[in-house]
Amino acid sequence: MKQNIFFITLDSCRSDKFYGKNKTSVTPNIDELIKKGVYFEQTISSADSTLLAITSLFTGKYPFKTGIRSERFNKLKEGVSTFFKILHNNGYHHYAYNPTVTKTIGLMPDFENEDSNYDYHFDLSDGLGKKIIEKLKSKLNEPWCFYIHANDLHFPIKVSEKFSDNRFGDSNFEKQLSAIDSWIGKIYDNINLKNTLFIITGDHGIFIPSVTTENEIINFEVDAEKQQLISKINKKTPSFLQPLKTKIFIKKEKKEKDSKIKKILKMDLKPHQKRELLWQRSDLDKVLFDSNVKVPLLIVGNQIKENVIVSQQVRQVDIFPTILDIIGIKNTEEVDGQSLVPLINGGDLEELPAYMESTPSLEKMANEVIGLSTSKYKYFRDRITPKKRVHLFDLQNDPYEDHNIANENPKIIEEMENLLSTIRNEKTIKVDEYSEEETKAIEEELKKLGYD
Amino acid sequence: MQPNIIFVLLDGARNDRLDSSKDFSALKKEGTLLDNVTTALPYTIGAINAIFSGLYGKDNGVDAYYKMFRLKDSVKILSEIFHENNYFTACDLLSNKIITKRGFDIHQFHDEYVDNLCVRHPDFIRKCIKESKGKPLFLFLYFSGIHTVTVSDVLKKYNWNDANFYEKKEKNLSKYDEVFNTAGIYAKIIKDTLNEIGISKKTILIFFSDHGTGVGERFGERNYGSFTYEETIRSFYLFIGNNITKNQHTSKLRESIDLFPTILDLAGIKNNYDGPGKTIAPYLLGKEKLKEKNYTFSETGALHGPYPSPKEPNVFCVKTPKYKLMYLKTPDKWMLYDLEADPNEINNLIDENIPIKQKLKERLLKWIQR
Repeated sequence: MKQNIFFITLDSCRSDKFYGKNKTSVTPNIDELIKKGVYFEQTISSADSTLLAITSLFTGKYPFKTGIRSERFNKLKEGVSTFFKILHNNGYHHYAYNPTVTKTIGLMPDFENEDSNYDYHFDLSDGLGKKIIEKLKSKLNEPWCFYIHANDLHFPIKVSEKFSDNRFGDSNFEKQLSAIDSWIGKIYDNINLKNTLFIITGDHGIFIPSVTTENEIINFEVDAEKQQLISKINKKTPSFLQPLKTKIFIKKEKKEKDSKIKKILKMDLKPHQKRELLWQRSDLDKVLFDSNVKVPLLIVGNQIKENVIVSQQVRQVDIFPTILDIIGIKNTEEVDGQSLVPLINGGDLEELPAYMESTPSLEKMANEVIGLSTSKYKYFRDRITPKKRVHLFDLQNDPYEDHNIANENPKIIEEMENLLSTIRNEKTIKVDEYSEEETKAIEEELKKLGYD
Repeated sequence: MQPNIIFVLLDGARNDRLDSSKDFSALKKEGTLLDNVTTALPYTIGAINAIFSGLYGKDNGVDAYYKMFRLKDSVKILSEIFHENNYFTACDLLSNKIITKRGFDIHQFHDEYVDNLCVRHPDFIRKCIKESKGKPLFLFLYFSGIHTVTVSDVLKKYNWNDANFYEKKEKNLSKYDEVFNTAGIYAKIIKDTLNEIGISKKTILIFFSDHGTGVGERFGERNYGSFTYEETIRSFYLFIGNNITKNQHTSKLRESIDLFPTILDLAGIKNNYDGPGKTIAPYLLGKEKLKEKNYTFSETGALHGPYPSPKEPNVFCVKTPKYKLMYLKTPDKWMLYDLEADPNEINNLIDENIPIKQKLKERLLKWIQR
């Protein structure tokens, strides 16, 4: 009998808050699970927000190959297969609890439980956890794949009351992760690991506007209840008031940012701390720092080695081929990912650069970025114009991405651009977007046409 | 027998000034005129690459002035397809960079300040017939007279922010009409040349504009390419041919990328084109009514003006038969115009409660982000 699969995606969960020295959450269950399985501590998401990330996760392809850019506009390209389809073709039954937003894009299969969709703010502690456990206790048709997308860490975070004490973490994010941990423990108690593969990952990361210094905790996290109330009022606002609403929103956001800047002006903060604190959801300058794209990946199961921490960089697109490989399904789809089973078994596997992209904004044109992550460098720049908003970081010597070394390292940037071009299958464009020769020819031509 | 296709560009011709030329007015009666065709990009290099590829700029690679040499290798253009289909293919351009040499047997250019196109192009047609050795012709003739007067000359005299230019709009328009009159004379000469040579009946002649020309209607638009208002993005196409319906005129909304499948259909060439352009050949041949497009798109990035962006487009619009929504990325500004009630696009309705507004925003953003 094929193994069942329990797959949980923790929306917005960052790897550095899930495992390692930078976390302040209390996660005995997650810690225990990490000891029972393989944990990949450098897993890079394909995108900075849910839709592109999960599309990439469940197709094994980079977002630009899937046809999806936004839930309102696109559907999965014809001919792009999904993890779910492959499992279905191999006799798997699908169950899920996931937010309705993903329903429209053609990524998800028909789940056998009718209550598979829920509205955004339905956390594990709001009843989702209980539902999952009840479902696990019911007789599910085997082999099954049970997919959970938990939004507990999604902005704005509403901390579970039981975990609101500061001993559960320095920030709302970490307190809520402690709450999630308690549910993971309860869920885990209802899973038979002998015939079930247990996977926990994140879709993408997020900035956490809370910084702990030697002296204090500076916290700019928003009040979730207030935020949700504003959202409710916004939804009820008549459409003719929309422009006014947008103006008020922009003004409010600017005021908030100015106030934050003023507050931290005299503090001795590192660049990464400042950007975490100053981040707002309305920001149009997109970025791809580790906070945005580094996610946890934990695989636990009967045939999985115990207590293995993999430090090599892996990619979100690798997850789908890996699971199929573990459960013994041959993947015939063309994907960007590779199976991580050799690493799980303690062997070697070539480390591949991870491609990433930011998500477009629906209401306004954001300054989108694309980039790459390797174990040595992080590179990202404007999606359209390679020379705009160029960021390069030496991840080995500057793990917090504090010092942009782009100006001093044109050769590395050229290498990164070549890699990007190869991945995006574009004709190689030099870092200097228009060579001197081409620029001269263009300008001469424009002059000839009268456009001096 | 495959027809000759003679494709004549009247660079910068405004759809609303066609009747200022008696010659062009007369020509209109000889064929079918579409006067509400949205150009994919309101400047020649972008517009022509879009027409020749049947693709928007982003998809063919030429979506900015600086992308003039970036037509994708994978994109097959009309000259290549006609050449493969045993046509003799030739062009005479304002500059040899307007469109790639790909697929052309003759790819030449003239000097806009020296050459008399009313003589040069009839001679060129005769030369091509001689050299074609019996093959049908695919000719692309570029009339640069309007460009010379309204672009090259204007740019030499005025900076984009020179109030003197915008203040004398009426005078500019009068000057425009004068030069359009020469375009009408030129068009008549081309038509007469085909009669004289005796190839009229087996030729489809298409007069078209790649974009219009501003004459000072709005600050920042010295000629074209700065914005996507009607005076620059609304182009026209006049089809004349033996089987083309005569004295037919429509203002239904179409777009310039429709030309690609249309011309191939008129020439009877089968092609696996699956771009966004849709043929209007059945309408031209009197077999079907013209279907109006619900949405058309245009984009630009100016060389000069208030928001220059020669390396990437920064002004976008979606147009319906009734409305136009424009987005200026650089100042992050949206504009909505009711084209029926306000054809000159004076009153920005973006703050009004117009139900279609959000839908248009989504359409446009989807197109930009595709």
